[in-house]
Amino acid sequence: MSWGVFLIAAWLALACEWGLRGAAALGPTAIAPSFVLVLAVFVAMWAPSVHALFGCVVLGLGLDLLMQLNAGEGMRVVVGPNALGFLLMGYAVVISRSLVFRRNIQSGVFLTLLGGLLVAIVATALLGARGLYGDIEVGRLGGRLVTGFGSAVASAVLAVVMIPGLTLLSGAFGFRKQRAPKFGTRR
Amino acid sequence: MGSRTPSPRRVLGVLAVVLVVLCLAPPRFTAWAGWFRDPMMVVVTPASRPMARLSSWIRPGDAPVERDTEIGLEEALRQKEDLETRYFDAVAQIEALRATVRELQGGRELADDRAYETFVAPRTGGDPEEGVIDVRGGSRNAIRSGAVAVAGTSQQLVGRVADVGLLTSTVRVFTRDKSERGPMEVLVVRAGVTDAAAVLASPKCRLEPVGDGTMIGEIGVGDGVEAEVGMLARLDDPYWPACAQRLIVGRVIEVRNTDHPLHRKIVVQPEFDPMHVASVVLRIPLGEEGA
Repeated sequence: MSWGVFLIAAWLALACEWGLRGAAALGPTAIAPSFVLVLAVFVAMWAPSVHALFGCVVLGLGLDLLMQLNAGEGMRVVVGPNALGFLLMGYAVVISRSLVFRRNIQSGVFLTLLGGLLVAIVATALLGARGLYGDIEVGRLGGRLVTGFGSAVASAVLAVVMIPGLTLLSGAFGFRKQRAPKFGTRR
Repeated sequence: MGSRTPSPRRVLGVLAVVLVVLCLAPPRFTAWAGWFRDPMMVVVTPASRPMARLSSWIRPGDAPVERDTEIGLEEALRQKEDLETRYFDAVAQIEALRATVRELQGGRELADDRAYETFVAPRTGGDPEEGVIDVRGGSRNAIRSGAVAVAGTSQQLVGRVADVGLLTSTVRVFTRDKSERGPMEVLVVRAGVTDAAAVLASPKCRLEPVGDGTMIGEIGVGDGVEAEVGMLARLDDPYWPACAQRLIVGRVIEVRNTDHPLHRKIVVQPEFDPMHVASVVLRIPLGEEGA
């Protein structure tokens, strides 16, 4: 995998996530598609296993640093909920990618939906556990989970557009070269 | 000798343990993680700012100001609101000064606690789930926690600065404030009232965020006081800095009866969604309040 291209894509995805989330939200709710999630699913579908897992962690860490949590009068960064959620999501995609036809858009959409649900469950559970210290205001976990599930569905809709675009760029990511079948003898 | 690639399971295990420890360790051991947000924002903000502008264009929070020499009705109304706010503020200031003079007779030192500096900060992004927006401008621009954010094009309150980074600040939007400080106190003023004494004598109400962008509270009626749709809610809460008092919180959009015949429930909605403003004016209190 070309890490340079991945980092540029991650930078753009994080910027879109942070800048467009308000406009993309469903009405007054916080349900919004996640550009970062779709990129993570794409990387997990195509990159070598270890690269895919590291890529997912990098994207999750980026989200953890962006999304501060209310903590009394101020805000607090909690590293881990999204990073771990993305790591497990990446692993789930890596072990299931051999079962799907990766060039099919439906596969990307389906894996984005499942991945989003997994990230929502893991992140909510971790935030709930972390909230026991009382230093952050997690709010109602049920509401957070519903928002996460809604965002997973919205991300799956976004994947319909984003996955084909990213698949076209898979050569730039260094995936197509890596995945090409090797015929003949090794020199 | 071939290079050995670690197995995905081993990588997963090691990373998972590290992340769980980072997430669940007591806050005093993980506070350093917040230091990485500043460099992260330095990198992300140049790209997220155009996205936020696009976001404000797709889903505008406030109407853009016309820059023509002849001002339109909208701009005239904005200026009227601005002047009304300043006028009410000035009257309240006179009242406060009178009280100070009375206290000075007892030997208290005079301090101007209403002074503030302003800083125009464009929105760079936001998180609807936490009810916060990020604006460009941080500690380098002398912005401090507790500064009041006002919409760039009106006297509409947006929120309060909850966190200040090197180049960006996080504003907690008042309609989605989840902190446990309790309801927000406002004056509920009849539409068209411009007499400052009448404004300051308007009934008080404590508003709580509902979660959908509106706020709800109970108001006492009778003795010539009525709750009507269209009334204006202006901030009058000692928790907020003096420079935020009398700013517009929103308009009454619904009045509901309660079990008590002399009480009404009012639903207040900001004149636009503070989550989608293109830019804010930060009022940074000076003097004791700012410190």
